[in-house]
Amino acid sequence: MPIQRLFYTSRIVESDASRGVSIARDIAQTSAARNAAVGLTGSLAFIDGHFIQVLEGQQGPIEATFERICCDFRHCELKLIDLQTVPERQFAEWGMACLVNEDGCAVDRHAALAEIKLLSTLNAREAMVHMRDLLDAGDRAALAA
Amino acid sequence: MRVLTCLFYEHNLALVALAALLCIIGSYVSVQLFRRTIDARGGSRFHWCFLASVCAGSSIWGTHFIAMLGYQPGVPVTFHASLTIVSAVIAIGGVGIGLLLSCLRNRWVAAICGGGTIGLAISAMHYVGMFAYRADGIVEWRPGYVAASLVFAVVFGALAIDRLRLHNRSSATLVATALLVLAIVMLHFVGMAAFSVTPIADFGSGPQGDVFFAMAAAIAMAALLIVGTGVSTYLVEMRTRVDAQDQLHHIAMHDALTGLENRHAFNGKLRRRCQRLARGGPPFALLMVDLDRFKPVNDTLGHPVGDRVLKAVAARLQTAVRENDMVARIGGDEFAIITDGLSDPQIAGHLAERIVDVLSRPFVVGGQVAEIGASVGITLAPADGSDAESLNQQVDVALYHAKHEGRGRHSFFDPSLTETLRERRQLEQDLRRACMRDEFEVHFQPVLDTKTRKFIGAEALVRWKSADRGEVPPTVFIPVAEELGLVSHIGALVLDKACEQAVTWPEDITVAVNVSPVQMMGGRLASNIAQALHRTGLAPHRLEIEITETALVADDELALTALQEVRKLGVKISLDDFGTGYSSLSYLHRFPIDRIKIDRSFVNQLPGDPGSASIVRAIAQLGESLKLEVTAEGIETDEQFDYVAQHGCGNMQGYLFSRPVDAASVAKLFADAAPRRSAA
Repeated sequence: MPIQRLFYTSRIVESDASRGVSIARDIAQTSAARNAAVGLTGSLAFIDGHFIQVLEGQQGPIEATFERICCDFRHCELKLIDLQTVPERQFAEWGMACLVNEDGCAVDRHAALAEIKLLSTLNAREAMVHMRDLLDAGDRAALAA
Repeated sequence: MRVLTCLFYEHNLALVALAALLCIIGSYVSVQLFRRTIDARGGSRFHWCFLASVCAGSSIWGTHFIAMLGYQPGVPVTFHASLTIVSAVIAIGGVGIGLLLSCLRNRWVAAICGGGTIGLAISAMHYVGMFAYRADGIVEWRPGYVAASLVFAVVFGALAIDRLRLHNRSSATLVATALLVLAIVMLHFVGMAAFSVTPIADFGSGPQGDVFFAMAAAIAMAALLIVGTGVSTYLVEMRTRVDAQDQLHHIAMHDALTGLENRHAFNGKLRRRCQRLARGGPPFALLMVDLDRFKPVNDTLGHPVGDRVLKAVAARLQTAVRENDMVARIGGDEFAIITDGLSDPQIAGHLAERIVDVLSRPFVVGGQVAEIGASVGITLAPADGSDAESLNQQVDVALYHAKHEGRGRHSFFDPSLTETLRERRQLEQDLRRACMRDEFEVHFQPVLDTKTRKFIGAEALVRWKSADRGEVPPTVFIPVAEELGLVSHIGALVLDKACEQAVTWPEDITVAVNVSPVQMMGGRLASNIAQALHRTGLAPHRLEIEITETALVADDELALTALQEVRKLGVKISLDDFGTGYSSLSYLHRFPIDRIKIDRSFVNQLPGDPGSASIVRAIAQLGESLKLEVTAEGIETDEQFDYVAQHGCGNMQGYLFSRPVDAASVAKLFADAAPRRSAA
């Protein structure tokens, strides 16, 4: 069964900008629960007021979910960066992994997130690889701790 | 008097009451079924007629029979079985025939024939029934009462049908029911008054009361069962009809594809809102949403994808508006929104922004991505207007403005916009007329050879000399012509006139004609050119067509085919305004191009601006290496001429040599130059 991968970026609306991180966490949590039911996986990053999201799964659920995202007025300037059929999932373990810039997080994490944001407009594939790497690094840190 | 005596002294009143009950219920149901029969059309009329006549016939017969059982002549009584059954058949059949006659076109004929037949059927049933009634006594008939009973039955029957034909109200049904009851009752009791039995003394006089009562109850039950069947059929059918009507109403008011309300529903709602406004109702805003770039979605991704995009658009619009706002689809890709209670332009503007934003987001459908957008026009009631017609016009004006200001935006109605739109409409009208009257002229700007400084050709340029407007610049009317689909017509005219002039010039002088993208993609470019050449006798190698890069970007397969056909005729092709559009070197390689023309915007800044200078140089070199001719446009100064000449542009045109001039002047210019050239 072919898997589709969709990659988009958007910006949080001004009125919600101050609560961005908690909104992003909420979105990741609700969508993780919803995605499990329809076989979607992916990752959501929130950096400097911008959302960067990857969705992976069957065409039907991807399109339905993306349409719902397009009806959401908490963000604007939505840009579809990439949509293609891929051989395998990159975020198979996550219903919706969440990458946010937490208070007091390490400086290098902040830098990594900024890098992802920059890459998102230049090279979608690379941006996704970076998101995956950052998630793995987080796991390793958790194991070490 | 005899009738009343007969009723009270010779009848068992309990059975008479039972007969009366059956008569009333039966008549009421029968009249309902009569109504359906009269209203029905085609085959279903016969089904209803069957049901109605069985129901009415059984009621009439049951009423008669029960009443007969209640009749107490004071002698032993028997019934003749087959005649009794025949009387029932007469009742049913007679009513059936009467009912069909009641459906005749003419109301009077229908009432008299149909209602009369029903009355006669009741009478026939009664008297046949009376023959089946065997009383052991001396039977005596009074003809006067018989005749009176017949008259009553026929008159009341006719009146009942007349009521049903006249009105479709429930009161008419009640009156008709009463008349039918009267027809039955009057016939029966007047008919009974016509009949008397004198007992013969020898016989026992006890009537078989219990047996008769049981029989009456059985008949009443059977008749009521039949009537009940009629009732339930009627009700079931009524329910189905109401459901079907609801469904039809829903279909009539909604768009099948998106499930939104349609133009019809929208017009109704807008009218009601305006009426409410007149009675001091709340303000509202009217928004008109038109999709941008939707046609290409249908054309390139197919209608099934287009339809799914429209459904998604409908859903997004509904999320963008408030819950009670009306969203209607009023055209292929046009939607209207009515928002109650909205009078603040800022809020209306914010809503429009939301709509523009949400529709500018991509649509992913069936693995395809459709990027469309929307323009929104807004008008506020009652601030801008308060009747449906002017609000509709205003919102159209606002939408038109939004679209012309560059799409993907919203625009409020403003009275000044009406003026702009009116001017534009006037221009459109004038332009159409200009096409019919042929108000176009062709002027020519000569092209020189850089080295010899001699004329080698001229570019044909269209001029519109309007009777009312004077000269209208092409930059004003060409975009309008493109929108109106007139540009191909104008282009063909120019081509024809240019060729006509060029034949009169010296043989080494060529003519260049601009071809719009629409003309090029129209599929008739090569045949138009061939016709013009044939008609004027101009040699193909003396004609050059100038195209712009935009035409190549739009659909390069189609463009390639068109250009190859033109090339086959022996006509040359040059690429105009080179350097300003999506200049891609691959065009020069892929398409059969003979010449590139450096856009005047670069030449204008020569030789001072280093950027422009290097572009001109680069294009000239490019032409040299690809073996393309290069023309520099817009040469105005000697410095520009020198720079261009130095850097290898073979040809040039510009005010330095000549402005565009009319046909006669350019011909003279060429004629004057020719002898000198041959002398040189």
